[in-house]
Amino acid sequence: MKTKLAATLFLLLPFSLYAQTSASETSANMAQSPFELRWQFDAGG
Amino acid sequence: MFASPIVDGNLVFIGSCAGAFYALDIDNGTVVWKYDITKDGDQTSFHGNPLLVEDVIITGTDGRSIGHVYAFEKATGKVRWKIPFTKGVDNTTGLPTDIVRSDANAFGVAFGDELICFDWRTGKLQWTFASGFSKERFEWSHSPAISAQRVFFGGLDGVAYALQARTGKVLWQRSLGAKIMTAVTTSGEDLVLGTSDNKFFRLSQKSGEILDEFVTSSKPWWAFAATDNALLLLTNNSRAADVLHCFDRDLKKVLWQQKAECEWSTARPFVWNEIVLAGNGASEVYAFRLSDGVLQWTHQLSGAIRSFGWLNDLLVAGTIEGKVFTLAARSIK
Repeated sequence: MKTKLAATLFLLLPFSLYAQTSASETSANMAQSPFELRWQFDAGG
Repeated sequence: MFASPIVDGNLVFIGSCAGAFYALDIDNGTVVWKYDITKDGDQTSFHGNPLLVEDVIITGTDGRSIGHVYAFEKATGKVRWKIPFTKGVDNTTGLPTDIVRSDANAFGVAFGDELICFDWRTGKLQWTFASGFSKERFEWSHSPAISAQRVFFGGLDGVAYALQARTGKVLWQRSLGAKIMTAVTTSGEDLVLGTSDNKFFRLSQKSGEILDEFVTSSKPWWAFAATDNALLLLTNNSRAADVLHCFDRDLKKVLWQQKAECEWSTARPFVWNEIVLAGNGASEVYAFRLSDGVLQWTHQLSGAIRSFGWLNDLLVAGTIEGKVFTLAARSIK
């Protein structure tokens, strides 16, 4: 059982080494866009 | 629109999936010239990024019964030459990949997974090379890459190939066990690519030896963006691009990731001034800091954002629906 648990933890390890954030989770601190629209063009597809 | 807008001088070049190639004035978006590809047959789309070289812009098209590679004169839109393609797979033919260049030759991959080499000045075909793809059903082929007189190509047969750019002689080939799902990308003296069994590979350009392998939980999607220290790629889960990954250059570890709330709609991440841009299906451009993935800003547009281009402080975005937006840095008041 201990061996199985250790193997499971080992398999999960790579995914715990980095944080996967959702784009919306960090939006509270984001700045206003530094851009403004100059022009737009519609090519139809 | 699928291909990236390309800015050169005072022109923005776009290939529209409504069957036309445009040169627009960078200052105001007016049409400087337009070429209607439907007059050359049943073709409507541009899926790969063009090659700009000297006074021409070279791009591939695709359609149901015919596709082409065109060389347009940049200033006027006059067709310098064109190469027709009439053999395809499952009612799709043409050349949907980026065009890349080595000296006098240029390269792309046609539907059916055939690497094409042509003289970029004349359009004369030099050689072709077909992977072992079965052609039993439609699959997207992916863009080749160039380095040191060699052309690299990731086949739908699951084999990475290196060929001598001038002659088409196969220098090495490496079976990776599953269909290659991304453009082959050069990274220093290595190559990186992703396969349909959720793996990324780093190969030696010289020998094809597998230097590193990385497994993720979803499928690699379309094309890497490479910087001095990082490789960026979107992955695709259940047909939607869901995670933006930033890897170190050796593909040994993930530096950061950003999961989309609404699926990423860009075909490839876009790196610009130490910022990584990705757009989503809710018309939002997200800008992440390259060094750590921290969100810097968002910008709301209209449509599913597919691709980006830039010139100095101007950012150009294209959408699947065919709109092009040019954004300028806000003036400081």
